[in-house]
Amino acid sequence: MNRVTGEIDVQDAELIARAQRGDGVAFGMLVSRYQDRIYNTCYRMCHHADDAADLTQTAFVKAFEALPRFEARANFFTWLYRIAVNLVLSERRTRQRRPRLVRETAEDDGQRYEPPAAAADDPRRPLLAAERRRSVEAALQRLDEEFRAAVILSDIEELDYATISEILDVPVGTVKSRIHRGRMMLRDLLKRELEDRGCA
Amino acid sequence: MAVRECDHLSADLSAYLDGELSTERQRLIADHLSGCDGCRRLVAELREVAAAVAQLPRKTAPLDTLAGVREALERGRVVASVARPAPRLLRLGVGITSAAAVVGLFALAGWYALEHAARQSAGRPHAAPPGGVNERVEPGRRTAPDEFAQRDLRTPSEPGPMAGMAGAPPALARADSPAAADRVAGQRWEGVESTVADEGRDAGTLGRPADGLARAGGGITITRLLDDANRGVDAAAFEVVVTPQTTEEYAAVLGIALALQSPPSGAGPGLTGAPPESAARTADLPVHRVTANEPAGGRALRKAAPPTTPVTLDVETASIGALIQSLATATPAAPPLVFDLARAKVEDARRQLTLEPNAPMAAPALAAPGAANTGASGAARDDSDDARDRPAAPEGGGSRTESPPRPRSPGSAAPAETPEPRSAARKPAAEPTRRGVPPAPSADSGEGAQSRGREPAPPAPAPTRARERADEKEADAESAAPRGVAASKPAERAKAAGRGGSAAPSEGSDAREAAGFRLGRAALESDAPGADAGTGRKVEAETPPADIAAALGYLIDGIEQLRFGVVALGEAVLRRNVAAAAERSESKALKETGPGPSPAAEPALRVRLVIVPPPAPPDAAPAATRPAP
Repeated sequence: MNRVTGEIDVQDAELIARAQRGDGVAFGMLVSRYQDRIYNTCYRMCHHADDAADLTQTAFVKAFEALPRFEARANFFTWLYRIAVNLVLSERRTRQRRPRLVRETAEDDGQRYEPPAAAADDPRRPLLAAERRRSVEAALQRLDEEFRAAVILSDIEELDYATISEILDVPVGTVKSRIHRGRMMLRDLLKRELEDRGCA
Repeated sequence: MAVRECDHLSADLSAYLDGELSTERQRLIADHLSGCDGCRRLVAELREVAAAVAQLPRKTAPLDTLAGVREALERGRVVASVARPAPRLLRLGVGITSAAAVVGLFALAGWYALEHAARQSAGRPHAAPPGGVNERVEPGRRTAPDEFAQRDLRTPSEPGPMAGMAGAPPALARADSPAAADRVAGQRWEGVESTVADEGRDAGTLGRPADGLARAGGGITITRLLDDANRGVDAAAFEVVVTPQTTEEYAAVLGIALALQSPPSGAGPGLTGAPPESAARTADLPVHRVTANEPAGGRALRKAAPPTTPVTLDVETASIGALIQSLATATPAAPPLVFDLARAKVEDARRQLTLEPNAPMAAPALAAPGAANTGASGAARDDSDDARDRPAAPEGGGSRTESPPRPRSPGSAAPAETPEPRSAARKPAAEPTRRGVPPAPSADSGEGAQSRGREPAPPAPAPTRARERADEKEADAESAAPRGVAASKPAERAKAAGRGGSAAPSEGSDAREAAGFRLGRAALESDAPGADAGTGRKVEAETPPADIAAALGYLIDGIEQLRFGVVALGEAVLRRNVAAAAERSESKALKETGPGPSPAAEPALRVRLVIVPPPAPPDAAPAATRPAP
């Protein structure tokens, strides 16, 4: 796996320099470059499309506001991720205090995934693949925030441990531990689900 | 001991999988795994888990992310969280509606580009609509003054002022950086490409056989969108890779591409403005020449320098706005002149490539629906033949490509139902070719157009048509040779060549020569001795129609692919811009500032054709040195 390192992107540096001088076009280009990745990360962490969209926008707004303080030697990508992840974690904490009453989108279905009884006997491969994907998504949502963030940044965004440690603002050893523990939890959850299916 | 070692190492197994351990630690774990089934099984499970997570589908940001950022910045507030369902849905709905409209217009524009060129070459002036073209592209027009939110910017070298956020008109940028294009293509356009592919697979819903390209053997594929493909709603660029399967197809496609390119001095809103690098490449094109009939029958093209590398040509429409303008001035029910243009371009290409038949073609591909359909290009000819065979009345069930509804103008002549021989070779030398004067449609051209019940192309002047028919008869009488009979006399070939139209270059051909065209008939005439220098066989005097049909098929496929590409562009790229534009068009700021600046004067739809030479046929003799005249 070719992991993304935290090397400074030359184009980013140029765009940031322009954006710091007030070039809105340059900042728009930065948004265009990273909006999908930021959104994907937010979505995988909060598993809610509208929230992820709002968090993505907010992350860019915060980045724009904080841009004058951004140091050129830092990695914009890492910095932006950090903003987004912190926003998500903060939002999740807030939401835990204020639980959602209505599931607004179909994506929420995965949060309480219950495997269909007959799924194991379904011979159709695409359906099984979808089942598997939903299972993984559901299991991912059951992880604690810190483990989920580490696993997402590692396995979905394919960032290296050093970059993840910058984003999460924790030591590399902690990142290593969180990733491993997160994967172990996922394994256990998926195993349990398979066992449940077998029992069913 | 082993259990303690497992406990000690298991925490590092994920890092081991990710290659995040030191070399020494990595080796230590590898050694342990070689002797521990439990840890090996655990590593496999962890790997499976990581892979399962990595395979989760990637989500893309919603349409209005950029606009939302801009809006939040403008209002000086941060939308922290939670839902805002109504505005989002409203904006999304507006965006989708606008995007659909723009996609439709773009598709029409892409389609219509070629018609415009045909009209231009036919010398028909375009009457500008009084309202201008901008009103026609309402959903995607640059009414919004915000470059920041409207442009989906990917190229950092593009300068832009901060005023772009406040109202500077977006400049139309051109893709001048292949590296940037590659980078963008590799990083950003997977979705677009897949969308193109999806469109292709689902082409039946768009009115085109999904397996058309497959049947063509080679085909035209859009491999990527060039770097400036996302520069707003009125600029797009595609790279289209054409892969002909035979040398003749290659030559014909190449000729079409060259014909689509305008001369450097070319004016007009059709296809114009070949970039300088394209002209330079044109100058390096290999010279084609007709040498001999192949063992399988039919004439074959040989090249003094067999092409081994793809030829890249840029074809650029001058203005999407002008195309929309053309659309506005056209009869609402009048469809594009694709087939007429195709014929004109093929004729032009044949002249350029010395493919002009110097003997009558008994069964021209475009005029003879029942022409034999053999060879590698048969599939492509199938397409064109199918299209040609379509009944005259506009049929709703037919595909747009193969049978666009083409109402006949009141004054159009009744279609000639009987196929007529192609007459391009027998056109008078002074007959105008392409630009500024109406192209004298060949017999097949006229018939083909009329047989589909349309009259978009200007009818050839009666004297020219009459002379053409007379020439056809004369040539038929002269040769009186059935298909396959060789015309071995150089004088006859020269005579036929002299009538071919390219001996007396027209304005267009002059300009093309100035642009570096070296695909002249000199190569052909140098082969005139009647026998191929390489094989000794007599030169086939009759041109099998397959190359024209194939070229036409390729052209049509290309147009269709372009349409797909445009649609894909609209779906995958423009959606954000359009949504933002639609949103801004309703915004209070826009009402305060009034309509935005007019769009760029010369938005461009650019197509970069990469024509890949076909593999050399196994039985083809190597290119012989050019014999002395």
